[in-house]
Amino acid sequence: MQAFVMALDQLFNPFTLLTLFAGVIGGIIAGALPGLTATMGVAILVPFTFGMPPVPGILMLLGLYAGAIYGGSIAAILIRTPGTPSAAATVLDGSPLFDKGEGGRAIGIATLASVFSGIGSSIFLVFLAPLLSRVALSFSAPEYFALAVFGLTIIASISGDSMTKGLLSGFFGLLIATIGVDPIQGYGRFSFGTISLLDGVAFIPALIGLFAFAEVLNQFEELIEPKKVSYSLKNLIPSMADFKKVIGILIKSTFIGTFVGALPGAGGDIASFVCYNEAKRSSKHPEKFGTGIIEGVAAAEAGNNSSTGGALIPTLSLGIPGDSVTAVIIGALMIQGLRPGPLLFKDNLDIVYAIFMGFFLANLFMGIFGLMGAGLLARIVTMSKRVLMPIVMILAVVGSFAINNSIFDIGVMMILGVIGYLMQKIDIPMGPIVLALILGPMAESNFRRALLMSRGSFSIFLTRPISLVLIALSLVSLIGAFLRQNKGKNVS
Amino acid sequence: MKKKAEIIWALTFIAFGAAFYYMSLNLRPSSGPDVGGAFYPRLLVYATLVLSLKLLYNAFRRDRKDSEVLFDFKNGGFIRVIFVVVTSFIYLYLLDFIGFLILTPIFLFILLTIIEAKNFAYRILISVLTTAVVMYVFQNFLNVPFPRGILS
Repeated sequence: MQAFVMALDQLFNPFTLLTLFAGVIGGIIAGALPGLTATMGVAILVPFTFGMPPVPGILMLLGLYAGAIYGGSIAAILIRTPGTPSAAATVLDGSPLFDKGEGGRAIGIATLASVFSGIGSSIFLVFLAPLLSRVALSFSAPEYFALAVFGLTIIASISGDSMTKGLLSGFFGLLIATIGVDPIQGYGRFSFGTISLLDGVAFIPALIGLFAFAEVLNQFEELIEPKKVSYSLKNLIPSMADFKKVIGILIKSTFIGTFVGALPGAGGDIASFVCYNEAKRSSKHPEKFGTGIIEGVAAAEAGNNSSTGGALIPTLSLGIPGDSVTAVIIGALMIQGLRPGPLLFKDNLDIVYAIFMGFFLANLFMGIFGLMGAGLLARIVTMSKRVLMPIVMILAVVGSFAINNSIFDIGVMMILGVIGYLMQKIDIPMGPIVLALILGPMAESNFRRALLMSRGSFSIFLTRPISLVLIALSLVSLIGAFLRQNKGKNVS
Repeated sequence: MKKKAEIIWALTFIAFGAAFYYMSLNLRPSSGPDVGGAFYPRLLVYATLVLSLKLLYNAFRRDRKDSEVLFDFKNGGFIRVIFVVVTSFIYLYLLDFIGFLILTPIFLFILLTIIEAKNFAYRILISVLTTAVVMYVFQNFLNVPFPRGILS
């Protein structure tokens, strides 16, 4: 109870509410602009939160996260281009609705779906995260190692058609994560002869490089100008008839999206497609999906926004990121001196409660701003964003420098940015690298601690029930992914 | 072009893994029940090598035509990227000597020119304004000491 009162006190002060507000608005705008993704926005914003107390800092990032995932739908509907990758499924029915002159109705439904599922997933978060953290309190080194391995194998199973590329990306990240101090013996290793690398590759600059610098290079290459479209935003507030039509889909998609979001590595993009496909499969008229029906927009948007609360469940309770954005949020929590995982719930319950309530509020604000500012957002989406890219570049430079006041970190950011740009050319995904950067140190240190506990016997991973189950699940997910890929090849 | 790019990436990953393996040779051997600092990274190196060979194999099985364009040479897109990367590394190299305040507006102006943003005056205005705002916020609210270079 005392923690709850403290949380209320931390949340309901003008500065925290202002940062939350700013995060949501900034997120909606960043999400609505193709080329600026949620991960990029959060990575760029992290350095701004260093000087803030933990609650406003983290809530600003969470506001941006929720806002950006919703904002992506506006561009998807108006200019047929998803503002963020997780709005890709929204294009399927959102764009045809716009062509029919029902852009306002589509945005209204997208807003309703995003708010409904965002709030729904935050309720799941409130109930499931503490439960999971209580289970995790009994975890020791072998279980944490098995958990990290499980998280990493999910990468393989969600890497789509190229499991090899997804895994290579993951192992590249794991190798980078070994640079620096040995977790048990305490000496520097793999520093490529540089003193600056003895502390390892700094996480935030690496992220800014992979998600901001790389994307800026892409934008410089393509120089896409948004199409000028004329739009009317009639029927922005969903009618009762529309609400009745989609409520079933919203509830189902919130469940599915939260679950998919909670899987390590599976973010809003996958969640929205899974929900869209499920809505189509279970529909009485599946042939109408893709022709411009509100059910399609509702399923996709409920899917991606419910994944945000879902992704926060393992992030806060286990310290395992649910997607790339929550990986950045783990980095931000650590910089604030907070270690996500069961101990966070034990030692900083007030902060956890404030995060829960703040995330709920962020989703509420998102709906209000979304409906009130739809006209303005539509104008922003169709504006040229050329001037933004050089500014993002400067923020990337300054943000990387600000972590340790180190020019070397700017270099790390730029090099990883160029690597990320070149990797994307052959469709090597960036997400696994980020997950591996977080999970790598956790995997190695717990692997070696477990072996110290067992005096060098590897059987420790198989004789403890939770560890055994997690390792078995990892094997199942790997073999499943392998079989699926081969089956896919045979079919094609 | 994708086939070539995949082959180059596979070879790059192999070289990256080999570098880690080579560096792991100098690490202290295991002591007592601890497997030592080289054991886990070497497992990663082996996995990286196997996956890189798989990527190489997949690349060689690709269509011979290999006509997919990866870099925009036609409209000058890739040239712009090269310009941006080179300018960025020059900026990085000079930052400590010349200082953030002087170098950043110049860097921004060059980037805005590469991206063909509006007119000359607009580019200058954006370059100076952005530098001023970023510097003010980071210096005053976040206490970030920017490199002062020749102004120190």
